[in-house]
Amino acid sequence: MRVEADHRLAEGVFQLRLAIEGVSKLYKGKVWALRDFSLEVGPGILGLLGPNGAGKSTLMRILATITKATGGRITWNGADIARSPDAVRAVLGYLPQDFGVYPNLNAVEFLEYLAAAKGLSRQSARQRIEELLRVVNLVDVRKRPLGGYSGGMKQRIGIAQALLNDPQLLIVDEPTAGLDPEERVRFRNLLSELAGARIVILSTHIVSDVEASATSIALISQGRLVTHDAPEALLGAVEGKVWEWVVPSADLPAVRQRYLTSSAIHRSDGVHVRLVAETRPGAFAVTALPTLEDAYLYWIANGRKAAA
Amino acid sequence: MRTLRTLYHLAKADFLERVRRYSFLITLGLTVYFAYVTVPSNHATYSTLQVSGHRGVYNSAYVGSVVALFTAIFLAFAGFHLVKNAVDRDIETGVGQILATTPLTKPLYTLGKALSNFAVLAVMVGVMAVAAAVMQLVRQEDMTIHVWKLLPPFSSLPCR
Repeated sequence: MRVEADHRLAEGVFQLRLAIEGVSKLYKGKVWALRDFSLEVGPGILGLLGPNGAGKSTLMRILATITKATGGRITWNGADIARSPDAVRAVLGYLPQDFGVYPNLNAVEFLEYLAAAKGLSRQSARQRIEELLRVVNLVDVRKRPLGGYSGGMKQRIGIAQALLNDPQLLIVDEPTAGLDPEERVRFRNLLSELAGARIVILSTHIVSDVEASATSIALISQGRLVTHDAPEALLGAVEGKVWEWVVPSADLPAVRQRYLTSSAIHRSDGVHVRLVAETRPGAFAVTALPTLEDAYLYWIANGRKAAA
Repeated sequence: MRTLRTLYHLAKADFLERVRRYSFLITLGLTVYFAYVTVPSNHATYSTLQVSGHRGVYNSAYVGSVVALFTAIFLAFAGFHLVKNAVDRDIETGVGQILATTPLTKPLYTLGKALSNFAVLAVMVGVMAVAAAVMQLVRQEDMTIHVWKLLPPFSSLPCR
């Protein structure tokens, strides 16, 4: 896969551009899932982070041409994907949040089926399936019906199908759901390898999923874009605002209510609280190096305040 | 050529998914039982097809016609149950949303499902035809199987 990516780089396909311009989505019952969402994405891994119900999956479905936006437009290298969905479908890999399979087919049969739907030739489909089954570590169970797979194994089949056509635009929605810690690490490494000559959009509410691999992060809350920046810039915004503070157990509820608390660990000398605050919360609080989780809490809280 | 390949795999995947289900095996078992009851013995208290109070000799042409006739009725119910919800299944399993992101066209998708339906029903009709031949031998009124007399009544059933 790395070779193919490098080849495309040499061909100059690095000009890939996905532009989301003022996209809104109104569901029945007058629920706004997205409001005036704009973002421009180039090659690399975009981590789309937000709480559950923020509108991430709706945006993913619109980008994958499954759902139509109520307003705004999305262009893939200049082509409107609502008017010409095939422009993006030919180069799209999509792993939905609720990925499903035909339980009575085995992995090879199922991938052959989707490879044909994606328009791959017999020869390239066979090579690709062999390669991907190795990548997702399912060679030994390739002939077993998918209905007997665990959740993690099914998810790996989902990852394999998304990569069948060596996509230029890879959209993965909550891809690590159901994966064990080892598989999560493996998947993150795979995503990092895939990035470079393609656009990868990784939607998740798990900060650690994007921490290792994302080249840029878009934070979404209540259907709106809170911010879009490099991880370093997001971290820079909370520099000097993250504190570690030891408080008595009895004070913990009050601290939680007053500050953005990212963790609280009970120890013999009290509760070690990690929180985000503009000013020192107490005389004995000390500053700490911010993590992406701290930055996430800070930005999402700011986004909610702005929306209110 | 690529379109034909896509069509083949669409129909194949849908066909394999259906025929490997327990419900299909149960339907096949019922089908064979149905073939058995449509060719009753002389001691049976019922008959399935009579003309002026007489039935034909259980040879290939007669058994083929009777079983094919009742297969047509049977397929209208059990067969419909088997082939319905082809599209709903893709929605329920979630496979449909993957297909929706591919360049696959609606006519090709529909044709693939139709071919799969045809293949499922053809398998059932084929099993009925074999069961009809077995019943001819079981009833022992004519022990010679004439394939070209037995099969024609079945030939158009999957298209109905």
